[in-house]
Amino acid sequence: MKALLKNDHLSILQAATTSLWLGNSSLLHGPDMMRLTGARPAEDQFHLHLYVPEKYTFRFLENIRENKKVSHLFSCVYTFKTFQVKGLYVAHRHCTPDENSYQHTYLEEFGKTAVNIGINSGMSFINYWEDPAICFIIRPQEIFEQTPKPGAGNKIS
Amino acid sequence: METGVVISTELKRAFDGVVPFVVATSSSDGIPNITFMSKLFYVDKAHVALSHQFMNKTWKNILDHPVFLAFVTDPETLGMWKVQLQFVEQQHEGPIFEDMEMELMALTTPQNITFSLQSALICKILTVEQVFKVI
Repeated sequence: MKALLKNDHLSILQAATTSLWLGNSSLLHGPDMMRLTGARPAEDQFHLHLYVPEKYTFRFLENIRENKKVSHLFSCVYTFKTFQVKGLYVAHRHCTPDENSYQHTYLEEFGKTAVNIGINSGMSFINYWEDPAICFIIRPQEIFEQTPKPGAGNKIS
Repeated sequence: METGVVISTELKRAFDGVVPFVVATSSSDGIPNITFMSKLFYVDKAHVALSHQFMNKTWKNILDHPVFLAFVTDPETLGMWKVQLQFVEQQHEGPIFEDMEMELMALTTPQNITFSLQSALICKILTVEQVFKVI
C-alpha cells in the first residue's frame, strides 16, 4: 500500500508557515477541534503524529471514546494552499522531549511567520504551548484539496 | 432573541477575518469536516452569519447537523475562542447578504481570489468558550 501523503503535502505539513488543526465529533457533543502545535509523518509513512498540549484535548478525548473518525486540516498561511486529511484515530501518548522541542521550534517560527503577515502579536503563539503535550497518532484514509477557490473540497487521493 | 452569551470587543474583533476562522461540522455518519472561512459576520448580540461561497461538504453537514463549531482568533491579543453555533436560516438577499457581498469583495480582491456568494447563513450563538488567553 502506498503512503497517502506525497512529498509536497508533507513539506507543507511540516513547514513553520502552516496552520494545523485536528477535529472529531460525537452525537452527544457535536464537532470539536483543536489548534495543533506540530505535525510530522510517522517513520512508517502511513501514520501522522499530531501534537497538542493536553489542556486543549478534553472534549476531543471524550469524543474519541464514541467515534474514531478524525479530520486534520493544514494550510500554508502565505499561499493559502490547504489540504484536509480524513482518517482514523489510532492512539495517543505523551510527547517525548524531542517532540516537545519540535513544537517549541514550530511555534517560534510560526510566530515569526504571523508577524511577517501583519499579526503583531504573533510571537504570543509560543505561550499557547503547555506541558504536558499529547501526540495523537492518526491513520490517513483520504485527502482533499481545500484551498479556497472553486473546486475546493475535491478528493485528490 | 438573546442567548445570554456576551460578545466582548476582543471576541467581536476575532470575527473580523484578519485571522481566518475555522469551522468544524459533522456528517450524519460522524465524519468531521474542517475548513477555513474568511470572516464571521456579526448580526446582533445573539447571531452571526457565515458566507456560503465554496462550501460543499460544510453546507451538506450543516443541513444534516445544524449545531457546529467555529474557532476564532483575535489578531491583536491572539485570544482564541470556540463558538458553538446553530444554523437558523439562509438569506439570498437583503441587508445582511448585501453587506456580506461588499465586505467579501473588499477582502478577496487584493488576493485575486474569485468568489460567488450564494447566501448568508444566519446562525444563533449557543455557547462561547475561551480556549487561550495571553496573560
